[in-house]
Amino acid sequence: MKKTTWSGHAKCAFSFGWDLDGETIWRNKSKNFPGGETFIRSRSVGAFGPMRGAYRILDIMDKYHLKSTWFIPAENVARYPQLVREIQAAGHEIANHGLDHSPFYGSTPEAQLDNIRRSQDIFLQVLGKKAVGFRPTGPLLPETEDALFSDSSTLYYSRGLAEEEICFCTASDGKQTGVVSLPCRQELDEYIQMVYCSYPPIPTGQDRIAPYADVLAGFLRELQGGARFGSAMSTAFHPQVSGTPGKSLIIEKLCEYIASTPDIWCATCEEVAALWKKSMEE
Amino acid sequence: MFIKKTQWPGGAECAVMISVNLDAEYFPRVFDPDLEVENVQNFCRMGQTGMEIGLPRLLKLLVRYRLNATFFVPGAIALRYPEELRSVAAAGHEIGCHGFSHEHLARLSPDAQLEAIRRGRDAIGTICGDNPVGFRAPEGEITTDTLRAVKKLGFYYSSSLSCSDVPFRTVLAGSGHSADTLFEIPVHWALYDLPYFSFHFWPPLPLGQPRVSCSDRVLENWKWEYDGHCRSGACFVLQLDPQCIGAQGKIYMLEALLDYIAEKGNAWFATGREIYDHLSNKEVETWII
Repeated sequence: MKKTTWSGHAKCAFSFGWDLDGETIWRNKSKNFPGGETFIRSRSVGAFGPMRGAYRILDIMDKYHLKSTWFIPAENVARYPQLVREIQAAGHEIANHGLDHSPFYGSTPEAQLDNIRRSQDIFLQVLGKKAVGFRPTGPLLPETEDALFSDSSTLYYSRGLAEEEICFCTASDGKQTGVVSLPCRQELDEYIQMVYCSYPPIPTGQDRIAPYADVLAGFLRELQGGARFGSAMSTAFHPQVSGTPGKSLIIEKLCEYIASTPDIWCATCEEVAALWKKSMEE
Repeated sequence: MFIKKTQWPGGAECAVMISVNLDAEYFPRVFDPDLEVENVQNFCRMGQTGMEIGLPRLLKLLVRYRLNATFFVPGAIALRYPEELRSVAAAGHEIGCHGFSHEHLARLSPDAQLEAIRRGRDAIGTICGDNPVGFRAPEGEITTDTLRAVKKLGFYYSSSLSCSDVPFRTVLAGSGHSADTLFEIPVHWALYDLPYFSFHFWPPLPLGQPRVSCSDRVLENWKWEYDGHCRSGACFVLQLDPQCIGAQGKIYMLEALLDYIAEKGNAWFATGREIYDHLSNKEVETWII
């Protein structure tokens, strides 16, 4: 594989991906519990994201002059239009994170495509444009992916897979498409390490909240590995987790590291995908 | 700045509320709110140890640091340990209600929820003389009816939700009736001692039997939290259980944290009631459920 030349002297590309899931994930989880549709306490953990965490994150991004990508379920775009427009006005990218963060998009390709179309309509309505980037919240049928990959308005996909390399997505016939796959690995997901709720229990085994310093150390190792092997990566960070006061210091320290490390080019997912695609076409 | 800063008395950079959940024998319900606890001998012993050893140790520490805390207690525990509860109240600490038998409120009908919280309130009132004004829902889920009952029973504030790091008002009647709200002092799991440390093999507690945390690392998390709270004028609400923080190998955590805060000299220490009094007439955010 051809080694990519990132912006400046950077050896790797890094993009903050903020999943503004809000209450959706908690509501969806609670549905599996008796009486779950009336639960409000676990939902309040998620509500922290759009109510408070997002603003703290925007301040940090501003402080370090960084632009990021916000993956937002369309339901939250409609519910918090003012916040989402503020994020957009601050120069960040808004990308598609499903309609309601349900892992289930529909049982047929038609239903799935309709689901995606409805979410994109909300983006268009509230923000004046559809999203060019997707971070699906569940598996899509091969036919659905083929349709998305052949749509020239789709620039990139950022799935929560273990892939390390940025590449073009492959269609079901095995052919390479023009849609960029931008890795988003679980090593760069702070939810996994620090989310906590006793009931409904999340994580299911009620593991302890990780030491913040250890979480930061792991993120720095990822960046160092990325620079060493010349990769591109995005994060699955959540304003409801790392937008809380103490955990936001992990993000601050990460930004400090990025600002002082010329090896890393920090940009939006759209910028990273576009630059890589252009370099492949040249 | 995108984030809004709250103004605290004396120009303090953040408010600090030391809260204590006096769950005693009911503590396993923090992890499994439907668990039968009364007949599990080990759970009872752990809870009793917290009341007999942990609580006096914690109370002494609070005297030494001249701090008033807010104790949330299930009514049944107040009735079981009346002397202990009176000694807490006599030391000047605020007593709040934590249900009656640490029931899983979301499992109950609206009427049964109201009844459980009323019994909890009345039990505390009988023992301490005054009805509590603060309510912290027993761990487990709650519904809008829970907060409606709390409001109806005359409580001033709840300290049960997590949607912010500064006090806010929960809108109880759906949008359009913003007058019907309940003041909320939010809490976060990361600032609670039990989830980092409780362990029991059978019945398994917590469910997946994870290794307990290293107390030094937890203390470090709490210091990061304190620094983060100061940056944006947030409300730092520590949740402690005497059987955890009051243990011989963990009490140092609270001392070290309080020394750290004192060294920075920028906190306003307050009880739940004092935070309510400071903000109840000021404009705060709302959460529309």
